Amino acid sequence: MSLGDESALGSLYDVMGAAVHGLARRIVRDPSRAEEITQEVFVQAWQTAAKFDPSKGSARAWLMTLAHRRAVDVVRHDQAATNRENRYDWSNGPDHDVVEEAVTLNLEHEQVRRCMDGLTDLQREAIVLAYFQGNTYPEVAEHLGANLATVKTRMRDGLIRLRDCMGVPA
Amino acid sequence: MTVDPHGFIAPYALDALDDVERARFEAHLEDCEDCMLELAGFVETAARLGEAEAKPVPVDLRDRLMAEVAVTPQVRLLRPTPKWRMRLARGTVAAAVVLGIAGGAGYMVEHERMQDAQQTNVAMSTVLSASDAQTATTQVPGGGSVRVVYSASEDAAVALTKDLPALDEGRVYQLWMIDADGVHPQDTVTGNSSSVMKGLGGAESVAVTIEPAGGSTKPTTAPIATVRV
Repeated sequence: MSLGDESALGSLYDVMGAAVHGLARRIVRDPSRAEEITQEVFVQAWQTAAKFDPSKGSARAWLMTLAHRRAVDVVRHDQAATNRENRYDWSNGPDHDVVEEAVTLNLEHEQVRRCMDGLTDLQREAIVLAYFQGNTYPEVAEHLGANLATVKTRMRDGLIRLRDCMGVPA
Repeated sequence: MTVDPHGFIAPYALDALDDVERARFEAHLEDCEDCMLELAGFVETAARLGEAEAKPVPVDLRDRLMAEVAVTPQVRLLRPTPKWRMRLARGTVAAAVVLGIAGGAGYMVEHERMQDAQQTNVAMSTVLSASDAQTATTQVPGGGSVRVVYSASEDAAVALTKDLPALDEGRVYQLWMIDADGVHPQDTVTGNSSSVMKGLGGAESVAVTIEPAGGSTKPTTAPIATVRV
């Protein structure tokens, strides 16, 4: 008895493979780990497709959530990655080749950048440290020298501003 | 949690909670409609941040993925949650994912074992993505097939049963690893299953027999299938 057909997963990969891979690469930095994560995420999507609930959000967001969770788990369990991320200068945003390729790949990138530019520094830093580097909010607080409640508030305010800027339904 | 749980929606959407806080917040989330509404918008927003990082995928990755998917069973829900039951529609789930519509109802479900599936998946992925992974398949005369993917470098194999005949109650299929020392018991399995076997060593073949429920330490019947590795 078959739940899904494999060609559908192939189509999903064709649409979302670069996004999953790019996010994993941004978070873990290591190209071969990023490839492994990409493969794992699509296999997980295949295995757990029955768990996808379209009433809770889009398939794209579901897949990106799987990818993000997996990449963050990897980075948190990898001390070497932690050291790398501490050396990484997040204030300059994504490194050049990522930006360049993302621009050619994804027309929404310009909008995302513009929306990120619209955040306060603290909002943007809180979101980047958490989302792109896998820090927990207490770690973000430590990085920023802010208290926990402030960091949570900045994350929420920042996401609300991004959401509205990107035109995501509230 | 002692502080306002609503404050955790944004950190949760950004995966900025540790495992303990994440589990606590998810428990709270089940009963918090407002949280779910705000979370949905935040999750979409975060996803767009991620999508903006798109980076070309090495071309051979698609082949590796599809090869793994071909031998990976899908987890089925034991019973849909009430929310699910409202929204499920028939259809192939993977296609539904692509289209962003509901799918996957109407089947009787065997197991709810996400954790198991995910842990097994890690072990399986290791074998299936090994550069020296090889596959051998044997058709079973009574119907169905047994496939074994094995990797010498990982010293492990994955055995897949597919569409084996239904068994009488109290009987199970059991896997065996055969090497120069003899026959070594492995997992008991169903007619559609995947199972990781570690410590391949000098194994020559993998066999499947029908055994009493719970399995045996030595085969009590002749193999229905033997796969040479």
